[in-house]
Amino acid sequence: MIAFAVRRLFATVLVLLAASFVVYLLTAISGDPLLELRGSSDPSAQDKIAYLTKALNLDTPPVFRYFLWLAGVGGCFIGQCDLGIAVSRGEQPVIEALAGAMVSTIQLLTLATIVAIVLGVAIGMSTALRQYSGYDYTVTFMTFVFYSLPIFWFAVLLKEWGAIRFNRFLGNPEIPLWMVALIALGTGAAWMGIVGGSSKLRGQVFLISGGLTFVSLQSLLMFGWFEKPSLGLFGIILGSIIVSAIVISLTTGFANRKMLKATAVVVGFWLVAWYPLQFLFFFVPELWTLLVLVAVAIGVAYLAGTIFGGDDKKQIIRATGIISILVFGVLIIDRVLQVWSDYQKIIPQAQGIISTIGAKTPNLQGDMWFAMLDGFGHLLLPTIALSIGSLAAYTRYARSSLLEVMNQDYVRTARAKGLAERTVIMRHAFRNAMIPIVTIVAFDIGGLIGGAIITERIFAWQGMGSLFNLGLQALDLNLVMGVFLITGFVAVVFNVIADIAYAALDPRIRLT
Amino acid sequence: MKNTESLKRADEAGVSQGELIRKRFLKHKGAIAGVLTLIFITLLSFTSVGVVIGGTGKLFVDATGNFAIDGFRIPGWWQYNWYENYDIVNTGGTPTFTLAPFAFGEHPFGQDTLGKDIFARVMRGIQQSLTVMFVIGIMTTVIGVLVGAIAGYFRGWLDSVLMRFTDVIIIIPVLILGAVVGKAFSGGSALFLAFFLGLFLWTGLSRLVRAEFLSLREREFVDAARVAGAGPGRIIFKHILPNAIGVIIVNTTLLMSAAILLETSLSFLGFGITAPDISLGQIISEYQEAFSTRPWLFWWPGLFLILIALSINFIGDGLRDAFDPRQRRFAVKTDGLFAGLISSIRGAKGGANAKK
Repeated sequence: MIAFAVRRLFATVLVLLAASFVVYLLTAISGDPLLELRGSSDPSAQDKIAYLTKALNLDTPPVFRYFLWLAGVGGCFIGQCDLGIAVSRGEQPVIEALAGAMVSTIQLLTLATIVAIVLGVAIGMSTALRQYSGYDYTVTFMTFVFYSLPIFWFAVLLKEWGAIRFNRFLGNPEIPLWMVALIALGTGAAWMGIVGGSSKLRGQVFLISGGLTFVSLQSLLMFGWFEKPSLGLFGIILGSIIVSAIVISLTTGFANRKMLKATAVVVGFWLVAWYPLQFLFFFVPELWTLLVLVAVAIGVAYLAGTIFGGDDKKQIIRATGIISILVFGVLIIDRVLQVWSDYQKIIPQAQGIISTIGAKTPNLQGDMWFAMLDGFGHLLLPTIALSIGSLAAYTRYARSSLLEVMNQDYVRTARAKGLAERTVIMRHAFRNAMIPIVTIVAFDIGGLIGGAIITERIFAWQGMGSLFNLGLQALDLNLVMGVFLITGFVAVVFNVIADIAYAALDPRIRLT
Repeated sequence: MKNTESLKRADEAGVSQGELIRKRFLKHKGAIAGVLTLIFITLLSFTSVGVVIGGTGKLFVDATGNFAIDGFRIPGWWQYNWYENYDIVNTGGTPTFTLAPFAFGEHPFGQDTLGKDIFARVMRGIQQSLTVMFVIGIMTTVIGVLVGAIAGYFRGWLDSVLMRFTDVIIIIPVLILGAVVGKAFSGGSALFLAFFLGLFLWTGLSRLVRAEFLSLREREFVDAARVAGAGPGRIIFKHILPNAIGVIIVNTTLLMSAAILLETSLSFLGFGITAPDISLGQIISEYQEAFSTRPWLFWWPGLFLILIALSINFIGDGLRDAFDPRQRRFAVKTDGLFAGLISSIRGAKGGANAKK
């Protein structure tokens, strides 16, 4: 496998070299980077032209200039990277520009990718389990629509409806009664489709979920929750119960007493810790506090699992670990929501909570919690815009992958052994169905590092994509090549990783 | 009982492979709806504002200071064209199209601030975007099939060289191609853009075709043809290619839906087709700031764009089901405009599976 990886990487480095040469020439023939200066009547323009011609070696033909650039790149191996200067960014060294852009691109992509994977796999699997139902057809149609959505069109709609109008709604939160009823009907219908089963069960699910939605939404409106959203102890308890119920129903099932006990201990721990933690959050709002608490979350789950786990200790530790971290997440949401009103006071009047420009509010006052709320408000829309296309694709993939696995012999064997349907799906089918998805995700990440050019442009996000766009608009060769170098390399590396992951997860595949 | 059995047998006896595929396709409601929608949109756009024959079809300013088109224009049944300013009928240029009472009016899709007729603009945009889409489809099919067939059939060093060449082409970001057309050839015509993009987008298809050829060339009918004295050209085009046609058609369709989104994205970013020339992406880009005040400038081009992409995706889905009911593949779309890279790599993946 190592020989395979080395051979592949070596071959791809050669390919990358050839491709970079082509890209260099293509960009170079696109036009003259000094065109604007040449037309300028400014007396200093001549000096500037002479200076830039020398700095960028513009008097050398592009074919030879490429090798000058390549020599700078080669310097990276001896610790002296020189990717040139980016004229379009005030002669900033390309390396510096790339470093800043990488950070913000990774920030943007991480959340979008996670959202797309989790939701896509969940929706895709649920449609596979309800194949050829009304729910399946509806979701299939929706995925086709999402897949055909031009992202630049969708993003502009998002800006209007998701930001401007939603902020206006938050300023004056009123939903007419018929709208609430409509939302409740829709939620009820969705749950009815997902749960399926006999007509009696479907009717019950429809009534219960629809009714619950109606009552909770209406009461939230009545108590003015949208004006000052908060969780409080009640919300945290409710959130913990929901989180635990989901995780338990997916892992061990409610019949497992040991799991229930361990969960009760973990959730109880966080509820007791909630009040003292508020002091910690107030006095030490630092990143490492959160990291320590995540470690605590895992530790508590480990302890609870070891004490109550008995024979299936490993499984219970894993499941309670997930619950523990999720409940901790609920506590964080509660803490962030506490700064909601203060945050609204310090941001510019015109801008609501949901922002459409950039990665953060410049010169934001306040501690980490403000920064978190601010970051969330900025991330929300680009994340939706970015993830909607891949969400649709992952849904399709997960659906077809699970369907294929469910017809395999080992699934029939598992059923014949008398295993519970949950165990058959989550242990036997799900894990095998995930193998192709893992490789697909690896490819996607490799391709996405290039930056989401359109999304970044619409939401004024300073990432790799916007650098690339800027470089091309200004015909800034060094900048374009810098971005290409990183994206090409990462894409190639993830390509190899995807191949290796595929072989590692599925022993039937051999790498040669 | 006996009667139904014999009927069934008669049913099975006379059905050829092609007929089976056609039947399966016709049963796919989504695909049929897609075909009808696409035909309707194509006819509507080309008959309404007419076509431009010869020349580049680009707009330019003539000696009198008015816009003129490069090429001969056959007018359509719509009385307005896409580049002239008209008197604004409704205040603000709101659409004259109403449902109750049902009426189209003078400018059914509305007008922009200068009084340009949005219906004519959208129709011309659809023409340009469809042209790009079809040309890219044809170009990629021809090049992709040729490269893939030669690499897969001859194997050896020719295969290695062609595949490394494909690898090089894959990594080149599409945006750069758009920039070359946009800057070096000052916009170019839609045909030129499509031609140029088609030169680079064939990589995914060529990998799929290669994988298909690699497995098909080992089959007995190829040996039989070779023993009978058929040359490589005949074996490739007469014997193997017809067996690989399913993969080619399905992937060309999916590639075309990606192509129209790619063209509009490029034009949106200001590369590709640029003002005063029109494409759906260029219209959306031009009017995006006006969304909150004049939403109709924005709704119509987007709606048609989605309809086209959606129909093609449904057609592709139907074709895939028809050719191979078991196989259900779905290409991932990314916003990075490096999408060619992704789909091509995935194409190689399919090849690896085929070998297994």
